[in-house]
Amino acid sequence: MEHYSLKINGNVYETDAEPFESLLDVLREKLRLTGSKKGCDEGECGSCTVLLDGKPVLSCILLVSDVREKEVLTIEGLPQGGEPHPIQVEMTERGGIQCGYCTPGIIMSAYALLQENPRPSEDEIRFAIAGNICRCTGYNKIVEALQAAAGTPIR
Amino acid sequence: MLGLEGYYEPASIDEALDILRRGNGKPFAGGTDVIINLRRRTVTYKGLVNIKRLPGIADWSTKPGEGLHIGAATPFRDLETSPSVTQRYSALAEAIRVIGSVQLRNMATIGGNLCNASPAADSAPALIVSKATVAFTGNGEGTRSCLVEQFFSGPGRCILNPDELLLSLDIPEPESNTGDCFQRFTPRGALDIAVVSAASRVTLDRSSGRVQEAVIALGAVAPTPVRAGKAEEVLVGHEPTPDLMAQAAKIAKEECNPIGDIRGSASYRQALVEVLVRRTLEQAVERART
Repeated sequence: MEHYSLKINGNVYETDAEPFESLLDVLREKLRLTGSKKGCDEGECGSCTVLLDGKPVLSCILLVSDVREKEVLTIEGLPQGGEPHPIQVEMTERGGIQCGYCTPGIIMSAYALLQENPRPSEDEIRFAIAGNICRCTGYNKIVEALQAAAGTPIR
Repeated sequence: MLGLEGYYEPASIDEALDILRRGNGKPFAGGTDVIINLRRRTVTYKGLVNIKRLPGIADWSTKPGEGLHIGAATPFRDLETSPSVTQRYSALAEAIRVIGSVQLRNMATIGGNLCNASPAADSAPALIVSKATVAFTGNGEGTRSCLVEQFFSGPGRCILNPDELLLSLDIPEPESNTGDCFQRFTPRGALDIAVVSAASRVTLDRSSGRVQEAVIALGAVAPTPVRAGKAEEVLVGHEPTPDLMAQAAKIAKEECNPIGDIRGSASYRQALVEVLVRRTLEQAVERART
């Protein structure tokens, strides 16, 4: 076991973990930050997506030792002052959520996209969330919600 | 957990090689293959050697006239988001964009993709036609290098010994009057493995417009990524007409010998080879002319 001071959502979390444990397991099982979901646990589904130094990564295959000295942003870190982030609002109001399991990952991928490209085209949105699998919505409602969040025309 | 006895994060190449020589572990960078295989228990390792803290291993650079120098642990996404890469190295950029997903490409590294040595590795055909070389270090012999084309020895196997480490890749500056292109076929648009992939690169003679050099590489049709040498030969010295490119594509189909598996039958793969070679040749020639 090693000791880690992890910077997550602007806070420092202290925890002991094996260096080869996944960040997702540490988040969910040790720190009780259960917003990031475990779907496939092998980097295929995207439900565990978090941001590492601003870039979307798969926390299920990211080892906790690689998080040292870096900043993690999870879905819990998106609301500001108790208010949900505009992406969260639009996903909720426009039917981008059905069962909800892929939702935190979709929102983190979308947040990363809008940080670097505030007014993405529909193709750019679909490209950015291609690593997030949703078996409920058929994606169109998600894309519409993200277009609304970005303030771009909804087709 | 994972049956590991040790986990190492060497800070220097000497330290890393010392750990590897003692037989203590498997080098990994992004972990997008190594960690998943370990969890699936399709492999076992005594330990893991995380190479991402080695100096310069994740850095890349390019200067006009000097080509592209890429540290082995450079994540694909770093290259994908750089105009100096995407504007000059078309085939490589096209290959990178279809690997996994954005999240995966922020983790998965170009050197790891080669060391994993999948016959379907998307970066391989693009790197082969780009005449990329890899530099690696081994048992006190200093740094060695070879063409990416010579790097693979079988499905999941490359020429590196377990105590050797891939350090970097070098891609020469594209010559003038040269164009290249990568395409693959997958049922899904993302997060999928190529049924067949192909990259073509064509250099045209400046005055005659004839093909001076052609390189065609195929993925997922053999135990390793392979060249389509006979198809290349038929192009050289001739004007690249649609008929000639179609003929070369047919030859590429005939000279490859794929297996059938869950992703596609052997005859389906051969049919795809013809289509993808023709399309990538046409695109490469068009790019060579502009």
